[in-house]
Amino acid sequence: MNRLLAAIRRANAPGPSEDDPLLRLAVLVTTLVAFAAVATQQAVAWGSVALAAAVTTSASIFSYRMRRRSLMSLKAVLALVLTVLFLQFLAAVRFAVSVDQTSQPLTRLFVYVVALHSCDLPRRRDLAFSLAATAALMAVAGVFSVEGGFGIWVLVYAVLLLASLALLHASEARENAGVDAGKAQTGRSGRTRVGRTTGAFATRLSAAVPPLRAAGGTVLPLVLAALAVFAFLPRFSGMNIRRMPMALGGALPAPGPEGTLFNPRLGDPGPSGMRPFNPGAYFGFDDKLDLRVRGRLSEELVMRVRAPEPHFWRALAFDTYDGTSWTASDRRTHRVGGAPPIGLPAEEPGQSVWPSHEVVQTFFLESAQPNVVFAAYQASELYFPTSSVRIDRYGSLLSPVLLEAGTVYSVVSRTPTATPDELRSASGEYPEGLIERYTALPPGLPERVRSLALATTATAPTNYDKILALESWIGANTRYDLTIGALPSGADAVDNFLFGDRHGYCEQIASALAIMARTAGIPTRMAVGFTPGTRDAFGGMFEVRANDAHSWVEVFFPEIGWYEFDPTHEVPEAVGAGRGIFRPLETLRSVAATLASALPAPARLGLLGLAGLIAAGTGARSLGRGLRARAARPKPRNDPAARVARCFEDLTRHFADNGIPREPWDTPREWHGRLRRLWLGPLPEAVDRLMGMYEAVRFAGYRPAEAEAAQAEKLLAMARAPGGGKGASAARPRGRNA
Amino acid sequence: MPPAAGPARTPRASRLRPTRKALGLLVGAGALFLVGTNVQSGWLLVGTAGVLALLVVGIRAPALQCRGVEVERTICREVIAGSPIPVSYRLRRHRRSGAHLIVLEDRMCGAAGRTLVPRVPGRASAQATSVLPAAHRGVYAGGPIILSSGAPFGFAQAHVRLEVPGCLTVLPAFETLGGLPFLEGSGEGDPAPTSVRGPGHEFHAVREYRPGDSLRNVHWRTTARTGTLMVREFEKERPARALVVVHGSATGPSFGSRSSTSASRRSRFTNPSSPTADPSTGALDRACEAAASLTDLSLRLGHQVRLVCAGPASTVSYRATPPSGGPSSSGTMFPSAQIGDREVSELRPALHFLAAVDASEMPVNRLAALAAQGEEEGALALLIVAVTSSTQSDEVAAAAGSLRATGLATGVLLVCPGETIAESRARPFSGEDSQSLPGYPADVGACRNAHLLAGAARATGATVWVWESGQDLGDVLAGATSGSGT
Repeated sequence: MNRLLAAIRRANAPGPSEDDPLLRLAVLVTTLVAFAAVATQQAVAWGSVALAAAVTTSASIFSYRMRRRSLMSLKAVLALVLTVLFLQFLAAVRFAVSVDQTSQPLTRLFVYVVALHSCDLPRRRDLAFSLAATAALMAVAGVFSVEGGFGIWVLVYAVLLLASLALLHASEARENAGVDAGKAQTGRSGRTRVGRTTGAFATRLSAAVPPLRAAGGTVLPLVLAALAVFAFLPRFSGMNIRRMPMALGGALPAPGPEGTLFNPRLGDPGPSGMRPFNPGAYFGFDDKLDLRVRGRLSEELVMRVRAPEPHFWRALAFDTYDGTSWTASDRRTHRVGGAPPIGLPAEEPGQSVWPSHEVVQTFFLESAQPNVVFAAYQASELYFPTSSVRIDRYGSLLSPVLLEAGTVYSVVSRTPTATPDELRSASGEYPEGLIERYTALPPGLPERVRSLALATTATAPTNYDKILALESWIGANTRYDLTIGALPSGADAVDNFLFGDRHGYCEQIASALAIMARTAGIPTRMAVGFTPGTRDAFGGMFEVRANDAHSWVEVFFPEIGWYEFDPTHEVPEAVGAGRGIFRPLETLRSVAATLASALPAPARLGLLGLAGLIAAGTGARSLGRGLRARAARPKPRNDPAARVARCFEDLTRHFADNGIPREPWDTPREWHGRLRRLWLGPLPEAVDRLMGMYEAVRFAGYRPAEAEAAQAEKLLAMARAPGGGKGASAARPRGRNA
Repeated sequence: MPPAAGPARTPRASRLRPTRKALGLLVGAGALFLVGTNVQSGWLLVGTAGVLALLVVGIRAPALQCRGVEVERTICREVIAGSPIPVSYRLRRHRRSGAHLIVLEDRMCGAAGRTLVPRVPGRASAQATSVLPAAHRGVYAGGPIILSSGAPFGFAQAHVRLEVPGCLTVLPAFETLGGLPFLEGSGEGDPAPTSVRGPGHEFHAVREYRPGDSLRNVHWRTTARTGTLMVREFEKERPARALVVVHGSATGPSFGSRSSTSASRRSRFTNPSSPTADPSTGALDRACEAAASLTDLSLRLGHQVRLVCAGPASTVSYRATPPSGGPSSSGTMFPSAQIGDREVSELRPALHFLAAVDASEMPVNRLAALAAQGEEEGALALLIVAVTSSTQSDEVAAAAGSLRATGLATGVLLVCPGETIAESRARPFSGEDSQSLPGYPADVGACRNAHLLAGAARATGATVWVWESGQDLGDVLAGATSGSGT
C-alpha cells in the first residue's frame, strides 16, 4: 500500500514546468483543428465547439502564465465543473435506446473535458496528454466521417501533430542536456518575468527550427511507410460490437396503402404502360421491371454504404416474365417490427441452417430513394429509424416512410456461402411450389430460346454447371450496350436479345440467363438493386451512384438457398470478390483512384506528367552524381610504397588511440623520439623497424619490393599486438618537469 | 593552446533503444485498428497506418542522426581540481543530410558533462562549448564521448560511444598556507640553514684580500685603519632542502587508474560516489593536496623541495627549486585558479608530478627509507601518509624513524579520508547541482587508525599532525586543532 501511495505521489509530483511558448502554441492549434474536425463531421454541434475553442484558447494562455504556481484551488473548481458536465451527459442519454444515441453527447463531453484540461498544463507531460486527446478526437471524427473531404482535416492535423511532437522532443532534449533556450528570468517570488519577450521569443523561434527541419525530413518516408502499412493492413469483417447508427432524413409516410412501393422520382406510365425514363431514378425500383425502357442513368451519388465487403445492395425481386417485363406474382407484405434490431424472417423454411456468413452494412442515403430498404441478400436484422417495416415473400423490405437524404439505417444480412463443389452437389427437395413459381415461362416464348438453352447446357452435369455454361455463352456471344434500339412491338425481349443483334444491358442479359435457365428446369428469378459501387480508399465506404443500378439473376439450390449470378460482363462479381483479409493491390489501386478522382482531369494529367518528370530528373541526377563521384574517387594505390606509407599512417593512429598522437608539426622522427620518451618500457622493435622503412621510402626515394611491403604490414600487426602495445599515458611526467 | 589530438568518427552501428513513447504509440495504433475494424471506419485504418508509419520512422530516424558524425574535442591541458573545465567540441557531419538535436555527453573526467548541439549541417561542421564538472586529481588521457539523439520525435534514443583522444591533467588543489613553524625553523629539529661562508648577500666577516676577490667588496674603512687591503666576506646562501614523501596504499579491490594507458581503460574512472569506490583514493587526493600546499609554502620560504612517491617500479621524485630572488613572503607563487594564464613557475611541474601520483603497494617505511637515502645535512622531511584502516603503525613509526636516522628534521602528516579541498571548492561552481564533484565515502576506521599512528610516530620524536575530514589544513598544521602539534 505504501508503495502504491508512493507511486501515486511520484506520478503527481510537480516537475519542472514547460516554458516553451512555441510548443504550447503548436498544441493549442492542434487542439483547435481537432475541434473543427469533429464539428465538420457533425459529431458535435458547432456551438459547443466554438465554446470549447474559446475556453481552450484562454485557458492555454492562463496555464502558461501560471505554470510555475501550484493551483490547487483551480483543480478543485475544474473537478466541480467536470462533475456538472458529466451529470448533464447522463441527463442527455437517459432515454437512449441504443449505443449509437450516446455517441454525440459523449463526444461533446469529451470536447469539454479537453477544453477544461487546457486550464492546467504546467508540464510537458500535460501537453503530451493534450496531444493524445486530440488524436482521440480525430479518431471520433473519423468514425463519424462519411465523406472523402475529411482527408483535408487529416492532412492538416498530421502536419500539426508532427510539428508538436518534434517540439516536444526538442524541449525534452534541452532539459536532458540542461540547456534553457531563451528561458525567461525567474524572480525571487517564483513568478516569471516575461519582460524582453521579443528577444526571448526570437531565440525560441530559432531554437525551434532544427527540430522542425528534422521532422520535415521525415515527411516523405512517413508517407511511403504509411502507404505501405495501409496497403498491407488486414481487413477483417469487424462489427462485432454493434453500434448501429440510425437516423431519419425526413418522416413523410409513403403514399398509398401500407406496403405499397413508391418511387418518388418515377413519372406516371404512358399509354404503353411504360414509365418515362429519369436518369436519376432507376426504373427497376417499381412494381415491374420493364425491359422496354431505354436510357442512361446519371452519376448522381445515391448513397454511401459502410460494409466489410462488396455485395449487391438488393431492393426487389421479380418472378414472372411476360415477354416484355418482369413482375412479382405475389406482392403481399406483412409487418415486422419491434425494438431495434427488427428481426426478419427467413424467406424459405429451414433457411436459417443453410450455410451463410454474417455481413453488417450501414446505409447513408444521399438522395431521395423509393421506400425500399436496400441490403445484401438476405437481411436478418434491421436497425431502422421506424418501429416497423414490411416484408414480402421474396425477402424485399418496404419502409413505411419515404427515404429522404440523410436517412441512415443498418442491416445485418446472412449471405449464402457455398463453394462451387457444394453448389454442384446441391440436391434435395425443393420447397413446395417453388419449382412451379420460378420455372414458369410465358406462353409466347419462342422455341428457339429453349433449344438454345438445351443445346448450351447439354453437356453440363449439374444445375450449377448449366448456369456457368449459359453465362459463358452469354459472355462470348453478347455485348453490353446502353445504346440499343427500342424493342420491336410484339417482340419478346429475351428472344430479341438472343437472336437479334445480341446487344443489351444488364436487364436484357440477366433476363436471358434467367429465362434460358428456366427452360432447363432451373428455378431462377430477377433481382434489382445496386452494384457495390466504388470504394473510397481512405474512408472505406462504398459510394453508390445512380448508374450503379443493376439487375442480376438469383438461382435456387436446395439446402443452399438463392444464389446470385451476374452474367453481365464488366460488372464485378459479387461472389468471392474482395473477401481476402489482405488486399494490398486492391487497396493501392483504390488509393490511386481516389486521389485521381479528387483532382480534375487536366490537373490529373499534368500532375502525372510532372511526377514523371521529377522522377526521371531525380533518377538522372542521382545517377550522374554517382558516376561523377566514382570517377573523382582517387584510386587506392596498391604499390608497395603506398602500402608502407599506409602502414605508417595506421601506426600513428594506433599510438594516437593510446594517448601519444602525432601532432601536425611533428616530423616522423620527432614523433618517434617522443614515443621513445613517453613510452613506459621499451618501445616494440617492430615500431623502430617500420619507422626505418617508412623514412627510407618517404625521404630516401627507396622503392620497396612486394615482400618488404608485406613485411611492413606484419610489423604493423606486431606493433599493434597487445603484448607490444601497452604503454603509459602520453603526458605522464616521469619525475621531471613535464 | 594546442588542440586535442584528433577527432573520432561515429561507428556505423549505434545502440537504439525505443522509449516509452513508442510503446504508447503502439498501443494507440492497436486501439485505432481494433475500433476501426469493428466500426468499419476506413479513416481509423488510415490513422492506424499513419501511427505505425510514424513509429517505424520515428524509431529508425535517431540512428541516422548519430551516423557519420566526427567529433573533435578541444580542452585545456591542465586545470586545478575542483574547477570547472571549459571544453569545446567540433562536430562534423559527413553525410549530405544534417544531424539534429545531438546530445553530447563527455565522460572524459568521470562525471559527465552534457551539451546539446541543435544542428550539424550536412557536410559541414558545428561548434559547441560546454563546461565539464570539476574533476578529481589525475591525468586523463582522453575519454569517451557519448552521442545520443532521439530526433525528431523521441520515440527511440540512439547512442554512439566514441573514444576521443585528449589529454588533461587535473592538478591537485592546494591551500595558500600562511606559515608553518616546522618549515620556518622555530620548532624542534630546527631546520635553519647553517651559516657558511660563500657567495651571498648577508655579511659574514672581513678578511684580507686574496687574489681573485672582487674589488667591489673592499672594505675601505678597515683597509685604511689596518693599512692592508681588506674585503668583506658574505654568507653562502644555501637554501634548506625539504623532502616531501607522499604515500598512499591501495587497499581493497583494485580500481582503474585515472592515468590509464590504453583507450579501453580510459573510461574506467572510478566514480567516487559508487558503492565500490575506495576511500583510500580520497585520502590519497588529500595527501597530494597537502603535499602541494606544503610544496608551495616551502618554495615561498626559499626551500628547495624534493617530492618523492612510489612509482610502479621504484620511487619517483621531482626536484623543485625556488626561483632566484629569495623567499617570497607575499602571496602564493601560484594562485589556485587561472592556471592557464599564469607564468610558468616552479610549482606547476610539482603539481604535475602530484597529479600523476597513484596508489602503490610499497610499504610506507620502505618508501621513506629509499627517499631518505642521499639526503644532505640540513634538510627536513615531511612524510605525508594517506591513512587507511589497514595502515600499520609500526610501518609509520619505522618510516619516521628512517627519516630521523638520517638527521632529517621529520614531520609526519597523517591524512584521513574525507572531503578534499577540490570538493569544497567545487560546490560554489556547481550551482543547483551540488553533486558535480562527487565525494569519496567516509572511512571511520581510518580516522581512528590515524590517531593510533600519530602516537606511534610521535614516539620517534617526529612532529605529527592529523588532518581529519572537515578540518582546515592550515589550522591543523598551525596546531590550532587537536590531534596536531609536537
